[in-house]
Amino acid sequence: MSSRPPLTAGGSPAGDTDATAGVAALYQAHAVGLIRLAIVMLGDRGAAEDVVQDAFLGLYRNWDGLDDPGNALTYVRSAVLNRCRNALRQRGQRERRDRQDPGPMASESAEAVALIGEEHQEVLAGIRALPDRQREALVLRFYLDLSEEETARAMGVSRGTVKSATSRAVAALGRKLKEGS
Amino acid sequence: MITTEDRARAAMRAIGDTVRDAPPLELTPSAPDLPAAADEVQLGGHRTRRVSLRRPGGAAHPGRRGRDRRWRSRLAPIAAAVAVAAVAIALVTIKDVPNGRVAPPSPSTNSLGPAGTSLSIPGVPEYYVAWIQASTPYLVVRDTATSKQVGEVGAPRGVSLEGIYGAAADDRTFIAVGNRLQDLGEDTAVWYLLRIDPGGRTPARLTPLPIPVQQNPAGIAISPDGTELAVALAGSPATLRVYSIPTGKVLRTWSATVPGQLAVEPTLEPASVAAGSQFTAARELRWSSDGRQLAFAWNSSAIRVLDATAPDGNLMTSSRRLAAIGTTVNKDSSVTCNAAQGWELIAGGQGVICAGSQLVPPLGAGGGECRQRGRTLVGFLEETKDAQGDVESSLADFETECSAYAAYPDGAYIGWSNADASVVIGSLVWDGHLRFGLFRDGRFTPLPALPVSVPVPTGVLIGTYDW
Repeated sequence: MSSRPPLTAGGSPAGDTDATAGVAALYQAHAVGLIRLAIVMLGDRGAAEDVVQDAFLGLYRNWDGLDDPGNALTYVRSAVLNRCRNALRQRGQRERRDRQDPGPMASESAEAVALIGEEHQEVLAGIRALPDRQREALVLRFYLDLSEEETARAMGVSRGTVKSATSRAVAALGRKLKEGS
Repeated sequence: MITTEDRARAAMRAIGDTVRDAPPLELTPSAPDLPAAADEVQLGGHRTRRVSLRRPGGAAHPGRRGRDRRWRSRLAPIAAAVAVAAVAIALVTIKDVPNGRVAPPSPSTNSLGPAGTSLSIPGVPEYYVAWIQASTPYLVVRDTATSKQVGEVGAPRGVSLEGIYGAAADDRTFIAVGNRLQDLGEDTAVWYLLRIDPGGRTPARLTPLPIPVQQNPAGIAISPDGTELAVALAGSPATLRVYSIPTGKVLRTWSATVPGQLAVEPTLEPASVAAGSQFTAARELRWSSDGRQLAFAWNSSAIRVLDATAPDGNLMTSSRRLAAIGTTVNKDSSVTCNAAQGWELIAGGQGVICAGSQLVPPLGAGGGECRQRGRTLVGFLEETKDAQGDVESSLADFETECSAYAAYPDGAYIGWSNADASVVIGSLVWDGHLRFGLFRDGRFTPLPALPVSVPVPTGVLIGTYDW
């Protein structure tokens, strides 16, 4: 895999046309949806945009390594999930280090709070408090409406795992909401 | 009646709908271009002194870059200065080598065997087993040096294979864990022994094991002689058990008497670690190469070690803290042990090597010489106690590494390390390059790509790959 030079979309050097055009087209078609996915995970618009930009940059850099460009969306969706997971992990580490209350990890940014209303905040906090696998299965199945097979591919797990993780997520979330009410 | 599922859908839609557009796409890496380097990588040595980002005499030595530095043996004498904390810490960085994942292994480090046989690399496991994601996941046995497939194992009927775990000293014995899928009720864990016999009539054979653990394990480790299995069980109390592999009999049990989890990665819901995350289950436990010590990740904050033959008892009082997981802040910088991305017990249970990183402070002595201040270097972090058990902080000398920094702070992965950390199989990601291969004696040798299917994991090494 060769190193790609820095460039901006629309200004591709020779030899990078496919990658640039492919990534730019994918971004145009799916960026909003992926930012929405990331904001569900992270609750912060800026962080969500960063995660998606970073995922597309990763796709661009690894374009030659894709065995099938038709898999690019699956790749970048997985990359967004991975980066969200890392962002949550790093946020948690930072908070523990700073000995802060873990509240912000499970809540929305001020902007989002103003937009979505209180009734949804509790649910989203509960979703973000789920273990990684359960949270991802729930979001991919019920927010993106992916099939079990598509969810399994995005998460890198088996269909059986998706099935059990999703049902455990719903059960755990239900318990949390009941406790909170 | 509004169900939990309905509420979840509505809440996710509400926050998602706040996004109506996306910022322009910028494919400009924040990192400057690094010059192309040779196929050999030089690694920073260990110094028992504070981190210095200055080059000797304050002069730049561009000609030395990538040529005259070596990853010195961990066993090299460490000056006994600066005794401040409990462990010796050394971070090894690797210079930029855009070899990618697909370059062939360097012939200089391989001993060529007869046609059709393994090209073994001395001191390195000859074979690894990869878990392949598919509708019905399966296992593939490959030759480390050539990536050639030597066997394939499908899932038994009604079972979904979930992970594969290695570490037995003979590199021919692995443990596979699956879920028996139930139409009703919870899936239950099922256990198998995977023995590989390259060149034999059955190159890979899966045999059911009578391990009586039905919940997904939080961690798994095999004794070096391949006869015992350590299983971490989440829940309350967190429990570590050792089973006889042939009989399934419980040999020893230790339980925590304080709240906490056998976890390498933080979770917001400790009780649910029991779900057995595929991403972390291979990272929770390690057995020392001499079989005497068991190490476990505790509360994603520490690696603790205990005598593997200790009688049943209290997990916490039977063990001692060996290393920190996460970030350790020093006077001049901070280092991070990203144990969730790989760690191994080394030095007979007296230390660990883990995927790590170091934040280079934006200001410091000689400020201005290094353009990359405020950046994060990635590498393999060693934490070891000295002979006196004193606390030392020792960081690698980065004086010639100024321009090598990580695009991703978590860009280091360890898949395997030998007992003294002088040989590591792992990967590093930075500045757009993903390098997978062998790190030994100051040299980096690329290895063939692992059979990574889409989706590509965060790094090439995740818990489902094992040697």
